[in-house]
Amino acid sequence: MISPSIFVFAPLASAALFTALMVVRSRNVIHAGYWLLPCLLAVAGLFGSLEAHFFVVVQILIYAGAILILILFALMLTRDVMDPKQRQTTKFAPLAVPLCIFVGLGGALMMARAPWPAIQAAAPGPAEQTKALGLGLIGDYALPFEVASLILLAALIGAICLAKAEKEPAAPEPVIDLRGEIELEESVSAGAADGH
Amino acid sequence: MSELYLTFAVFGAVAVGFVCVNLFIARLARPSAPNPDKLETYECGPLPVGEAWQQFNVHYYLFALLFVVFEVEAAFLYPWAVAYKQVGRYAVVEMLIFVAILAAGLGYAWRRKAIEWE
Amino acid sequence: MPDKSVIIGDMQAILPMIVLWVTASVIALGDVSLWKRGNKAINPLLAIVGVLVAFKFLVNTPRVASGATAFAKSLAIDPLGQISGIALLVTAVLSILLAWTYLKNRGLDHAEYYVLLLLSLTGAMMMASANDLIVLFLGLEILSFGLYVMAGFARTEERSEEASVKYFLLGAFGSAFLLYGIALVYGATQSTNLEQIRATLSSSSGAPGPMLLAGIGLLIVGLGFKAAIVPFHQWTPDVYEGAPTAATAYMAGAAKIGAFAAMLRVFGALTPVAASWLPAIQILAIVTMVFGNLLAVTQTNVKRLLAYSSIAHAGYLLVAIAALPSETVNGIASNAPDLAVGGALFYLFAYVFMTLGAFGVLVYLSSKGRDVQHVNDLRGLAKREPAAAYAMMFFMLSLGGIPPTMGFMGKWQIFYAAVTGQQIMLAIVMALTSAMAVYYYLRVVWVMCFEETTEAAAPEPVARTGAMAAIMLAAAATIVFGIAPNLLNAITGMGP
Repeated sequence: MISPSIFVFAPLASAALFTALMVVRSRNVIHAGYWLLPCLLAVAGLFGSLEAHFFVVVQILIYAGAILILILFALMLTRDVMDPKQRQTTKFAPLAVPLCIFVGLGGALMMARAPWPAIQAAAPGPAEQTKALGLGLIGDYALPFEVASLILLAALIGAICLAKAEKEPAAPEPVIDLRGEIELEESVSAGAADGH
Repeated sequence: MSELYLTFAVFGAVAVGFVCVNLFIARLARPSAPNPDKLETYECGPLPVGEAWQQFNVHYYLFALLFVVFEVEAAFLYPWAVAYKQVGRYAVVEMLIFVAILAAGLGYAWRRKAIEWE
Repeated sequence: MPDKSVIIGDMQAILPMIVLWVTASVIALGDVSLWKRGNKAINPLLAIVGVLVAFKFLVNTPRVASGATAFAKSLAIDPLGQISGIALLVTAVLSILLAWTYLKNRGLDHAEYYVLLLLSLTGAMMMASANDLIVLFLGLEILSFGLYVMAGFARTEERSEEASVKYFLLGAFGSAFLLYGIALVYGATQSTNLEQIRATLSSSSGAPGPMLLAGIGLLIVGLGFKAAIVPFHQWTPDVYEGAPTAATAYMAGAAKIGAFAAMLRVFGALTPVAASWLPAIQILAIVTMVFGNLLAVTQTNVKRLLAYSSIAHAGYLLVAIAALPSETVNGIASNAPDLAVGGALFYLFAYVFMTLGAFGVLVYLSSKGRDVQHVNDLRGLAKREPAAAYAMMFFMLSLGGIPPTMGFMGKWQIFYAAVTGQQIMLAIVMALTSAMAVYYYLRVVWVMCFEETTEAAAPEPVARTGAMAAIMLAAAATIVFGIAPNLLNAITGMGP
């Protein structure tokens, strides 16, 4: 029996998969970043089809809105936006394809065979859902809620620390004797790789 | 599937359709006579120099990061705002702690001049 | 609104973490406003004071046998959390002392290092006490965020940058695995609470479903990444080598304690379905012990050597995990699980003292233009720096598991737990690989004592007190607790 929800799910899921593939396949990193937008929106659509209304908004607001901007800015910091000659795969790629298919199909099969708990009732409306979420955050999940703030703090301080240079330039002093050894090691290992 | 999203779908279809239809009509109506000067990238009049690609200042990234952090914080505020009346003072204190943790981060970013353009 | 006594209990449970977070915030804000990056010594001093206050609160927390929880059961108040918390705080004190010296000598003395160290320590403590998979994940993320940045703290050095990026990418990958595993376990058991998961699993009969199996598998992969278990270990040597030595030391200690405390909890909760994951853990333990030790043999860089050695030690700790489900042996109730937890905790203490001590010696010898990490840099150390050399010798002997050091006692306790839990095969592999490990540890000792230095005297480092203090503390602990292991049990309240 096919439930009618498949007609909502299937296009959204295939859109998410296709755009995700395009993110990976694009040779231009900016294009890859832009492909992420429809991908994130499709995922928001999937949340909607599950009637997780609050997360639709969060997905669009935070992921499609803020994090995508962050990613694009990060890409703009790079020097080489694209390099058509750059190989996108390693020599193990032929191995990866069947492996991915195997894992994907296996996962799908597993999910299909798993005993899912029956849906008891229709999902509550957006207002009730959000309220329940809020009560959860205040009540049982108070600790994860506060800790989430701590994560944001750590990320904030860490990023500023890495991105913002000190006023007095930290002496860019290469470790001379070690550098020599590293180069030597590299050339030796490169030679060994050639030999194989 | 609720009708909730049907509204969105119709709205989205109308919005996208409006642009497409208008552009299509304009295409039918307008003359088309391209020449190399017209096809040049429009840069407010002057001739475009160099490539469009250039490395951006890291400040953009810091702003975006601050934006993400505080938008996540805002997203947490919504469910809290719907629920806090039922719980009362305890909920207010909790949110104050949540905001205070990030306020320390904002204070640090501020004093560290991460939100100033140098 | 919860009861007043409940709130007080909750606050008591996280008081050490609150202290760490407040100290981190004070350092971050103070450094940019009050003392304006003038007096740099105040930052490590404040950090140490914060850690000691947290230590005081943690030790003062009333000891509850087990089963006590806080924050709606999301945090456990039990010996495992408290003792691994003590181990984490000890790691922090040693690493702050090391960082004090190292950052000053290398011109990296910024307050952010201590801020991130304290924040990630908060996360690690959260992880060690987590009774809920969500709290565990969040704790792990805070821990990792701090470590990612600390690994790249020497921003002008390419290797440090590379270490940071590598660690971040693979760490994010590991976190994704872990998160998916949590989602699948939640799908199979309808709960993220470890207590609840255990109850659900022991009440349900029949073989575990495919979703649970996949979930457990992903949990193993995710935690395996963080704990550096073969075959998820590839990042370890590069990150250990590239990160500033003081950061490597902290990473080696804190990440290992956090990951293994979490593993002890997670696999303790999964005991009812042990038949499904025990073979995987056994194989991983053997592979990790064998490859960790084998790859360490050829290393000439001490940091890489210690990285592979830390992988090997993760293998020994996995043996303890494998002994966890042996609640009954031949139908008779066995104390193997308690022995395994006790042994793993003791081993973690031993690991912290000897590994941080060994990194401490590298920190002690490094100066502005010279980052000591090659084994040749240690040539003739016994003559040049006898104190550091003898301390290093103790650390190497302890890492090799030679009595009467702490490393030996730790190995013995895990070995004993494995035998009690009928994991004979693992016990044998453990003994054999330990014997193999002695070779490469002793080679370092050989180089220090019997080879002559070829290079000119290095410039004198600016500061050495912090590192020397850390080395001496670690060396004393390695010896004292090796001779009298019960002393550690008495101090931490650990043991049977």
